[in-house]
Amino acid sequence: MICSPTGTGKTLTAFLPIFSDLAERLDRDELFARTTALYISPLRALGYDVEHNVRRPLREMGLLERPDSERDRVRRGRIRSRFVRTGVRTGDTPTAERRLMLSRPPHILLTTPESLAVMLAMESYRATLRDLRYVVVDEVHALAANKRGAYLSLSLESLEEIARAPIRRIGLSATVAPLEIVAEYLVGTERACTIVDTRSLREISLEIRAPFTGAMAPLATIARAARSAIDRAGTTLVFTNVRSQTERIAYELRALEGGDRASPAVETIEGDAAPRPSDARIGVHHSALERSVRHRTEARLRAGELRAVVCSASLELGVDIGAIEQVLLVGGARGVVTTLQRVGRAGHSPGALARGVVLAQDRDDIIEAAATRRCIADGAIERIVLPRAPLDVLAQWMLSLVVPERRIEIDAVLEIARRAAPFRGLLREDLLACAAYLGGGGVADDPAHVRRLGFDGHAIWGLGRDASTAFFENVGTIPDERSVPVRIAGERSFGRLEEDFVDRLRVGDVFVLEGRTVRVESIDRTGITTRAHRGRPTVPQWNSHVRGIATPLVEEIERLRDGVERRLEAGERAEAAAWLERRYALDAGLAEKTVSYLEQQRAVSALPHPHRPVIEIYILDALQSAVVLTGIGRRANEALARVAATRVTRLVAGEVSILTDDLGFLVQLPARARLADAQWERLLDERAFERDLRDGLLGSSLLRTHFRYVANTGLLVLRRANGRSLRASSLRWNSGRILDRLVREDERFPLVRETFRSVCEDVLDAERALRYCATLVAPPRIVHPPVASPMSFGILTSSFGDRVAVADRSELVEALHERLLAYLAGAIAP
Amino acid sequence: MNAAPRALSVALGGGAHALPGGLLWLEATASLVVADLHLAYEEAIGGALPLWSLDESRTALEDACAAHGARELILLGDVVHGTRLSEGAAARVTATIRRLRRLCTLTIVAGNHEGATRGAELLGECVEEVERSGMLLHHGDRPRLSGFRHVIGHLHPSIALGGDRSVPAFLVAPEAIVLPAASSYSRGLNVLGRDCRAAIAAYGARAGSTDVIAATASHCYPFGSIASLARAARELRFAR
Repeated sequence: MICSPTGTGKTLTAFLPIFSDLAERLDRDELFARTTALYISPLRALGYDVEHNVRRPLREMGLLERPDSERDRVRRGRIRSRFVRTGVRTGDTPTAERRLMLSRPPHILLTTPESLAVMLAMESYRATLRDLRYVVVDEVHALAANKRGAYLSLSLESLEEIARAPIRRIGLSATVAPLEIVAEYLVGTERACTIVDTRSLREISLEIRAPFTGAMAPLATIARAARSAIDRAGTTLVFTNVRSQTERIAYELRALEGGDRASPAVETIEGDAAPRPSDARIGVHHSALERSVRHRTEARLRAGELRAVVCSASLELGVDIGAIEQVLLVGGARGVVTTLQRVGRAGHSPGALARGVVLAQDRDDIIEAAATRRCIADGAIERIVLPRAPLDVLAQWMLSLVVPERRIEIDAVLEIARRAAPFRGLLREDLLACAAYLGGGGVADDPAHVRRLGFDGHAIWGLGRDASTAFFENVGTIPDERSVPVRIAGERSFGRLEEDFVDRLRVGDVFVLEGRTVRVESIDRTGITTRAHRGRPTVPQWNSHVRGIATPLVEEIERLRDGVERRLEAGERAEAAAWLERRYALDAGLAEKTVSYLEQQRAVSALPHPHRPVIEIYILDALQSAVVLTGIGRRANEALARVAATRVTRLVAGEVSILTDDLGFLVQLPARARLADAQWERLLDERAFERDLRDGLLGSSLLRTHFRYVANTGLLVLRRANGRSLRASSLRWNSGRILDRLVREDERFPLVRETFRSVCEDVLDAERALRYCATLVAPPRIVHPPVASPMSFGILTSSFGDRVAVADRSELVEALHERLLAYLAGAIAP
Repeated sequence: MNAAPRALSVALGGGAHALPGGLLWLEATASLVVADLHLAYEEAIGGALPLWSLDESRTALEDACAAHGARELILLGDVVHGTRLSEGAAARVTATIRRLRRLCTLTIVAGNHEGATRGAELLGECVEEVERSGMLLHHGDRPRLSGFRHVIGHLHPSIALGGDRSVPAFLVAPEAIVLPAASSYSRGLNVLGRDCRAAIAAYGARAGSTDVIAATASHCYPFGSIASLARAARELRFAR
């Protein structure tokens, strides 16, 4: 297990012993036409990696097969190769190439987890993998914590079953912790692993800039700050946390570059006067863009044609992007590891200092960045957690073991699966439940007519070609993120939008995608047709990909707040600022901003204590609304919010809405409903927490969406059948109704349990939320702030965000802030 | 028609009555009409699931035929959700149709979900359209002009209630009656949406003169015209 930052040459490190082994075999004339090494990467675009890390060094060593080189020859009955062959097999590999690969297997095969799963299920490929000696797993940090990685861990064990000799596994990872868990993920539960940890090789610097004087900087101001940072340094990567922000900042940067930025006051004018992305030297890169657009941006970045690229997580992973001078983090990176990864993209050479700048959008960002810096200095980074025996993944893998017509005993399946770290605690009864369902057992006493495999209580077996097709057409765990193409009338599509976002779009709405401002002309089954538009977007953008702040950071932020609070409590304001300068290396200006922020919070409301939340009661638009400030991070707050909403629903009639962020959550009551302080106080009782969370999740779109993923991965409902996507040929299946039915018939059904497990453990942090409720030292403090408290700004304005245009959000915050200041100055009576 | 209290049936003119469960009753011929059953939905979506809704749909139709003394049952298209079914599922669909045939005269009108063969293989004899009491009954996936009042399904009209909840609804215009989907899996097409208005416009119906009647399992709820419902929805902020 080799752990070192991106760009330090770890891929080559992994391959050198393999090259050496191959060269020695060649010298001994024992290089047989069999695959010796397998390289598995989560990235689908492997072309660059192959060339840079494998083919170039082989070529330089004179080992690489050239197109005109002498073919293999047969000696003493075996085919001997004269040169080393490499091959790539991904979902995009043409059939002809795949066929060639079978007759002349490459010595080094580069592939993805999904293609590996397919190969393992095919007899022809299995034969070529029997002499495998090495498996290199790249970007382990991007695999270990998710279902894709859980599946890979099972595939690696399947591989072990067919190989003649034990395989050496080499894992490569960027910064991740704890390494022991990742190492166990790599090698499984029964083998030893050597850990090579060279994380200290590169240093990063993290500067904090807060380009605002009040409470918050509008995106245009952030863009101007980014612009001046870009002007001072060379090629810059600008990371944002939300896709929509990526678009907005690129829009502002291009407008600044073009010098003809549309003023918000200008009436909207139809036409194509907005800056076009093709002339701009500011690129955009995020996962909703068409692949060709992303590749063009990567290529232009490598070629030095771009001054900056604004991106979301999409450029965090190892795509080669050439020399980057600096990295800007808009708002921060929401985690220590993410900060290290993102900033690590700068100064891409060993020993070079990677420079990162946080552009704080509000005062919480300053606190987050300060805490991040402290965590980096302390080496406190997030702990990776492996998914706990995901049953949907198990079900799909079980089918892969028996297609098309193989048979395996249940005991053997259990033994192999438990060797994979995520499945070490797999229960026999869970395995049997999956087998029973796949075997057509149906739900409760209702059998299904469709069987994916045969099962008799002791063994499972394949049911021939038709049943195998279900596996081959639906392999993989990557959720089918439903997206809709967006095009300009008469042109090809230039990007995609998530279906959930599209559901809320109406004709006439204006939004930004790929740096273009467009107005919706029509929405139909084939996509969205738009027209270029000059003027402000009218639609608040989608935010389904907002990342929560990670755990060690949340705790450090709690320490920071607590430290300041205790000093303010003692009347030592100057000491509070000085402490921030000492412990968090903040400059005087940032320390002052932070102290006055927390001071204002104390003046109108109260600061949440690590073990005692503050509940602020407001009347918003005549609706009673409670902002529960906990400070325990978005994932745990999301779980708390659902528990709270379930409890409130039992007390009032009508619709209760919730909204969550890192600091807390909002519960809004229906019209005319009011709860007394004493009722709000009991909101976070630890008793019946699990039941209330379950009730709160039932019928939620969160659960429904994840059930869709689980049902697809677990092959309960296929994504594709008979070579076509079922979604395109029929209505989108009603996952809500099917889930309701399943829960009603048998709530122990394995994929129902898996849905709840993955939502509670992988999506929400239910465990932390429960622990929080269980360790409260006193009932929540109820306050009735006369004006919105600064800590609730974010959440209150995001609730307004559903009703007003985006551009207004920072103005709203400013307005709230001015109101607050007026109150503090005594201009508003409590 | 204006919004009115809930009822066990609502007269739609010409001897047609909207019934709970989204059924239509035609007096003159004692015909019960049901649209968009989408049988075997659970499997046609690619599911390895029990066919829960099959027996439920059949029982509901048996009960309704008995309660109203129907002489004819008309299945108005999209009887099945898909035609590529496992042998077991296909056999059960066929058996269900057989049992319905025993009940009274069964008329099956083909819909787009019946596939290229328009259901012939799975459902037996199917027709493209039938005429009853001076009305032309067809599925509605192939809009056509005629001097008759149309009775169609296909659109799955419903009133959106926020979130993913909705209640199925009839659309009733002088030019056409649109039946809600009988399938419990239908998400419905919001009667206040553009797509719905565009679809009924193909029959010459206008929002101002098209009434919405919601149908639950037990009652019908006349909501008045699409236009007045849209106004109410805006004022009460319950649907978009």
